[in-house]
Amino acid sequence: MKPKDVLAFAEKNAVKMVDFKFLDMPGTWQHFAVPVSRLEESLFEDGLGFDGSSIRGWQPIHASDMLVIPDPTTARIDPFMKDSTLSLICNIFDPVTREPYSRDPRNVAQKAERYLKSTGLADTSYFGPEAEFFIFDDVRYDQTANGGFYRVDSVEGQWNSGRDEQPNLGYKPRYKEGYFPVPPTDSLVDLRAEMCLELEKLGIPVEAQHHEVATAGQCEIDMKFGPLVEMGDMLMWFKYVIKNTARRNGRTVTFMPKPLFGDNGSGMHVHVSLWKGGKPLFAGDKYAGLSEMGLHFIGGILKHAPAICAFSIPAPTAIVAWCPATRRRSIWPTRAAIARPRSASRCTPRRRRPSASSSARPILRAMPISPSARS
Amino acid sequence: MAGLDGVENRINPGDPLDKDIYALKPEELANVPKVPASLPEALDALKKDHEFLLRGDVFTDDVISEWIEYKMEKEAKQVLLRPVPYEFALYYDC
Repeated sequence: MKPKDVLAFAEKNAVKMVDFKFLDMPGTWQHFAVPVSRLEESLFEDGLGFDGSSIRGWQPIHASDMLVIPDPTTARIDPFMKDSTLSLICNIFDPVTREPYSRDPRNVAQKAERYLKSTGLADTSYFGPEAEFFIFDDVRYDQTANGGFYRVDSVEGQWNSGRDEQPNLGYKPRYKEGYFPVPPTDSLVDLRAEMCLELEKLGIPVEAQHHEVATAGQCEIDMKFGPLVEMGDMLMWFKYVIKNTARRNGRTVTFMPKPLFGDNGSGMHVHVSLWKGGKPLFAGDKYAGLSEMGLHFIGGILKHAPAICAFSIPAPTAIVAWCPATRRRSIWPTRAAIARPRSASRCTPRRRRPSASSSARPILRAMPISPSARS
Repeated sequence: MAGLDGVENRINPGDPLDKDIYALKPEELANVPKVPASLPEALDALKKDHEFLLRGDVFTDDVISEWIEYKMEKEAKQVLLRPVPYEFALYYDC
């Protein structure tokens, strides 16, 4: 979509407001909105100024003026606003130099894509993230000078098997047995379906949805893979849709890595492949059907794995979630080294890299992987 | 035992630091030795530096290795395994 197409798209959808979305440095979406009367083609060149000093990880107050410039190719109708709202994903720029802002994760990902092309090794990288999450009924936490606690709850929670629910209808997934009995044990199938349909309405193809291993509503919905920046945008939409669809149904979603003690945490496998001239570069006749480049790509990731973890598992218990109490630890040495072409319909050899936390910020965490194509 | 090691090997304690260390600038503080920041770091330090404890058979290799193993497995890792409230404040909405 070009700027003039966006204007036509807004008119066709009787848009009232325009919502600008962008990432802070830790990687969560921020936004502000303007009335549709301010939507002009020039906006896509000149951008809009705003005060960035309160955005996490950004500029100090004395140098806080920032510029957002929307990307016209990202235009969609936001399904969660009361009035018809056009949503645009933005890049951040310095208003004086008009340089892209170095702490804008989307800019980092765009540079990674350009860097990959400049190496001549490949022209396209595909990423397929699988972000796991929990759907809870209730969450409370606090820490003060004289006390501290956290408490999550779900009607599915195995710990509620003995609770008087007047009546308690049972069928609560046992610890580590949520993967994946049919309803009534899986009480969230309809809610996940609603999430999938919402994603598809936004033009985000879904491959599958299912309950995950942990009790108390751990779930997974898989999107089709895509190029790095596009997939980063899709993953932000994904989290937005999952959280807001849950909220609409009186539920609460978290992508945090370890909300339950003693049951599985939430990870995010990421499938990666490099392509050149429409050909998959990781398919070959070496180990597990890989090419030499595929093996080297894995070598690069394994060599730099500890450093990548600073981006890919950026939370204290996300790192210790790799403990014998979960199945995560085994993924590091084994699955990471195994890449197989999956179904022919995907036409892409995909590699499972070590499970990362789905709290990992999607764009920054993908970024360190791409440059390792050099090795 | 550490003190005796100092005496036996005439270890120089270094120049006095007659200053309020809480008021030192970061660049001055950079050269001031610090205690380990966590129990795992302390255990790692003990693993690398315990010869002085073995003299006179006071501590034994068995005591040192069991201490490190016990404190790491039964305490440090067990604490790290458990979510803490502030993680929910930081990451519930990630």
